[in-house]
Amino acid sequence: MSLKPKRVDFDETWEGLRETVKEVVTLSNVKRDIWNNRFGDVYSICVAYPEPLADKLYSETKNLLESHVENMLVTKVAAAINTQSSDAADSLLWRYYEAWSEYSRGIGYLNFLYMYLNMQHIKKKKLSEPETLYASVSGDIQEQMEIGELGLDIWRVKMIESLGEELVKQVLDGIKVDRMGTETNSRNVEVINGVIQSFVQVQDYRKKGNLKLYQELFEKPMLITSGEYYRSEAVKILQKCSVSKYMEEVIRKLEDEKRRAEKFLHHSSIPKLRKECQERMVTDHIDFLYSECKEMVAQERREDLKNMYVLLKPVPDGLKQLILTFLDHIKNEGNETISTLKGDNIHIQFVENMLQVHKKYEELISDTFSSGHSVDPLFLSALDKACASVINTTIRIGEKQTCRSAELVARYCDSLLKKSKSTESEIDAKLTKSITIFKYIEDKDVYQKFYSRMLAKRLIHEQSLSMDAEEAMINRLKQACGYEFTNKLHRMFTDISVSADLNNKFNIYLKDNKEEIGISCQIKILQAGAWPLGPTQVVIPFAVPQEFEKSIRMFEAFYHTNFNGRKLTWLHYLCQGELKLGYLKKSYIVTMQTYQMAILLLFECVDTMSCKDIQETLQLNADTFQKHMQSLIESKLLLASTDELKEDTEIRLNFDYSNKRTKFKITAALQRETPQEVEHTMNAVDEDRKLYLQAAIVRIMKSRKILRHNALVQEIYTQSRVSFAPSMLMIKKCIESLIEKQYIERTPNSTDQYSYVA
Amino acid sequence: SGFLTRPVTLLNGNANTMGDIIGTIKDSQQVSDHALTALYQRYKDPQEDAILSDGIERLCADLRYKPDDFAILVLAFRLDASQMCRFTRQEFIQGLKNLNADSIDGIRVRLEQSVEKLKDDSELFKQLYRFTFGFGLEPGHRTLSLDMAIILWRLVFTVHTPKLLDRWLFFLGQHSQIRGVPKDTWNMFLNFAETCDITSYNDEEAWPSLFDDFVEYENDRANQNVTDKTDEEDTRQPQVHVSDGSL
Repeated sequence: MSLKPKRVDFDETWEGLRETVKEVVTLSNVKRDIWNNRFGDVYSICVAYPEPLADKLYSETKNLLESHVENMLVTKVAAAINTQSSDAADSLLWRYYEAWSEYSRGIGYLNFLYMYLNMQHIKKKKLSEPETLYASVSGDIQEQMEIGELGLDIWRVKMIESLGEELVKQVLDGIKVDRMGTETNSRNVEVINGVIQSFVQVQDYRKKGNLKLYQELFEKPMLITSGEYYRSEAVKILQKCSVSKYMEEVIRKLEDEKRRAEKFLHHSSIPKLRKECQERMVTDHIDFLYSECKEMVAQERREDLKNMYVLLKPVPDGLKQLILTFLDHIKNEGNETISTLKGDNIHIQFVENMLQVHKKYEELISDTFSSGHSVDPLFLSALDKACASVINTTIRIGEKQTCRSAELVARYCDSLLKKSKSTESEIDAKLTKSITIFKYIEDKDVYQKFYSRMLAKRLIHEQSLSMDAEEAMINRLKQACGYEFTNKLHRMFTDISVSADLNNKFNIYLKDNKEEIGISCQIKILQAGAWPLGPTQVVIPFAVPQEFEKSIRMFEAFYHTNFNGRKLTWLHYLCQGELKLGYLKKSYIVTMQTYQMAILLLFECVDTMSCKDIQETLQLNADTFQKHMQSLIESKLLLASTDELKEDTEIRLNFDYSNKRTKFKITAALQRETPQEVEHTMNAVDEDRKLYLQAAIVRIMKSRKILRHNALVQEIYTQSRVSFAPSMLMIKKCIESLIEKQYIERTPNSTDQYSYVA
Repeated sequence: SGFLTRPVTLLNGNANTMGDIIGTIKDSQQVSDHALTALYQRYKDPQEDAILSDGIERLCADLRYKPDDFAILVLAFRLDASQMCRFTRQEFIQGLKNLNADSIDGIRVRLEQSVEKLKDDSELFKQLYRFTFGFGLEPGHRTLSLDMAIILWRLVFTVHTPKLLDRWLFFLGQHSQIRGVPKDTWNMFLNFAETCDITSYNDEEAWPSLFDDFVEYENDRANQNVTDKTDEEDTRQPQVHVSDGSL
C-alpha cells in the first residue's frame, strides 16, 4: 500500500468502511487484516487527490452513528418502558446499562480506527486552547470533534436527553430502597453505579465542565431527595429518643450513608451528600443536641461527649458551646480543689491537686475530643485557659488581693529539692511535672524571686538533695523561659562550685606557708548582685571570736593575692559551724549558727555570764542577740535566770544537758522563713518590674522615636508577657517617671503621643 | 491664704479713672532707660542686685495689688521671671521694656490690658499656664509641692476657670500623701480640664495616673451619694495610689 495521495472513489471505499464501523460499535469480531485495510482507507480518504474527502467522511460517519444510537434507543433500551416488567433483568436501567456498556467500548475502538482523521484532520482544525477561551465561543461554527468524542456526544443527545429523567428517577428509587434496608444485590449495585457513571463518562473528554451534565441531571435531584429523606428520618428518631440515643442513631446513619455514597456515586458527590445529611440531622437540631450538653459535661459522660464531638465538629462554630461548657467545668473543678487547701503543706496540695486536674482532663480530651491521632487543639486550649484562670485567680489575703500560686509552686520545688527520703528519680519526675503548672503562671517573675531566695538558702545552708537535681531544674526553667530568666540562678550555682575549688587552693596555700589556723573551715564566695541577700553592704556589727580570727585573716590574705582589688564582706549571719561539746557526760557535735557559736565559745573559761556582758563582748545589736540567745536557751544548752532576757539576766552553762543524738542541729529556728521575708520578696518583685518596664519603654522609644500611647502600651505588654502581666497603672507611672527624667516627652500639640529624647 | 477665698476684684475699678490713665500713656513713646533704672533702684535689695520679697511687696503696694493677686502672676509672666520672690535686673528692665511701661501707672495699665487679653486668648493663657509651673518650682526641684500646686492652680485659673476645679482641688486637699505634681501632670491638667468628661474617662488613655485616682475618687463619691444618702458622715477614703515621682 502506497502512502502517496491518490484519487479515491469515496462511495466505494465508504461502502466497505461503513460495514466495519457497524461491526466495531456492536463489538462484533473484526479480522485483523480487515481492520488494517480500513485503517488505510481512512488514511486514503483523508489525503485523497485532488482534494481530501475528510469532511465527507466525518459527516457520513456522524450520520451512521446517529442512526445507530437512535436504533438502539428504540429497539434495545426504550422498548419495554411501558411494559410493566417485574423482572429486574429486564428493567430500563439494566437495558440502558447494557447498551451503554457495549456502545461506549465500541466507540473507544472506533476512535482508534479513525486515528488518522483524529490526529491530522480534526486536531489541526481544532481551535487552539486560548482561542476557545477568548474568541469564537459563538455556536454557529459547528466544530468537528474526534470520532470518540463525537460518538459520546451523539449518545448524550440521542439517548440521555430523551431518557435521562426517567433514568434518574429509577436510580433514585434504587438508592432509596437501599436506604430502607433492603440490601441491593451486587449486580444491581453495578447497574446503578454504571448508569450514574455514564453521566460522567459521556462528557469526561471535556476540559471544562466535564461534570456539568452529571451535576445537573443527577446530583442536584439526588441531594434534594436525600435531604428530604433524612429530614423526615431525623424527625422520626427524635420522637422516640433521648439526646444520647439520637446521636448514636445519627452517627450510624451517617456511616451507612457514607458507605452507600462510595458504592453508588461519583467521588465528587460524597462530601456534598455528607454535608446535606449533617445539615438535616445535626445542624437543624442543634439546640436539641445542646439541651443536654451541661449534664453530659458535668457527669463526664464520655461516650456521649465523643458522639457530640463527632457530630458537631463539621458544623461551623458547632463546638463553641461545648467548648465553653467544658472550660467552665474544668475551671469549677480547679477552683474547688484550690479552695479547700489548708494546713502547712498548702504548696504541695496546690501543685499536686492542680496537676491531677490537669492530667485528668488532658486524658479525657485525648480520649474523647480527638479524631484519628490528632487531639483537638480547641479543647486543649480550653484546658489551658481554664488552668491559667484557676492558677492566676487572686485570693484576698488581709487587705491585699494577691495571687499566691507563683510562691506556692516555688515552695513546692524547694520542698522537693531539699534533702528528703524520696529517691532522686521520683523527685526528678515531680519537678518535671511542676513545670506544667509553672507555665500557667502569669507572674513568672514572682516565682523567680521566690525560687532564687530558696535556692540561695539551700546552697548556703547545704540543704540541697543533689547538685545534679538543682542543675536539672535550672535547665528546665531556662528551657521554659529563656536564658535571661535563669541567669542569676546559674551564677549562684557556679559560685558554689568555684568556691569548692577555692577552698582546696586555700588549704594548699596554708600548707605552703606552714600556717595552722586551728579549725577547719569552708568558705563560700558569693558574687554581689547574683544572690538575693538584701543589702550586703550594711555590715552587722559583730566582734568575731578569736578562734575564727586567724582563719579570716589568712583567707583574706590568700584571696587578695589571687584576686587583687576585690572586696570581701563577711556575712556571718549566714554562716554555720560545728562545735564539739566536751564538758558533758557524753560528747556532742552540734551544728549551729555563727552567733550562737560565738555565744557558746564565751563559756570556754567561765560557767556564768550576764546578758549585758555577752552582748557587749560580742557587740551584737539587741535584736540579733535576743534571737540567738533565745534559741540557745530553747535548745537547753544554756539556762537563764529569768524568763525574759534582761541586761542583768544570768546565763549559765547547763551541765545536766543530755540528748539522745550525739550529733544534731540547732539552726532550724533561725532559718525558717518569716512573713516579712515574703513581703520583702514581693516588694523586690515590684521594684524589679518598674525597672524592667522603664528599660523596656526606653528601648522601644529609642527604636521607634515617636509612638502613640496605645501602641506603646501594646508593645510593653508583648515584651513583658514572658515574665509578668503589668498593670496599666504601673505602666503609666513608669511613663510618667521617664517623662520626668526626660528620657521621653509628649510630642508638642498632642496629648497621646510620645517621642524619644536623644 | 488670702486669694483662695477672695473674689477677683482687679478689674472692677473705676472705669473712668482707668480710661483716663490709658489715655495718658496710650501713645507713649519709647520707654525711657533712665526711668526704668530709677524704678529698678527704687525696689532693689540693698545687698543683692535683684528685687527680692521685700521689694516686690513694696512694688505690689505701689501698684495697689496684693502680692498674691492674679495680676502679679501676670506681671511675673510678662517679665518672664525665673523664680518666685525675685526679679533680676535683666528680667525687670527687659521685661518692662517689652511691656512698654516705665512707670507704676504704666505697669498697672499694661497689666490690666494683659489680664483682659488673657480672658479671650486661650493660646496666650496656655503660655501663662505652662509658665506658672516653672515659676512655682523651688530651685533645683522637678516637681511642684502639693501645697504650692493647689495655690497656683487656684491662682492661674482666675480666668478660664474649669468646671471641675473645685472638685479637683478638694480631691488634692484630701490626699496629702501625694508627693508632688510633675510638669507633665501640670501641663496635661489643662487638656484634662478643657476636654475631658469624667463620665467617659478612660484610664487606658494617656492621662497621667493622678487623674485616674481623681476620677475614681469622684466616681466613688458619686456612688456613695446614690447608694447611701443618709450616711453623709462616712469618712471612708477610697484607696489612692501615692504618686511617686521618683520611681
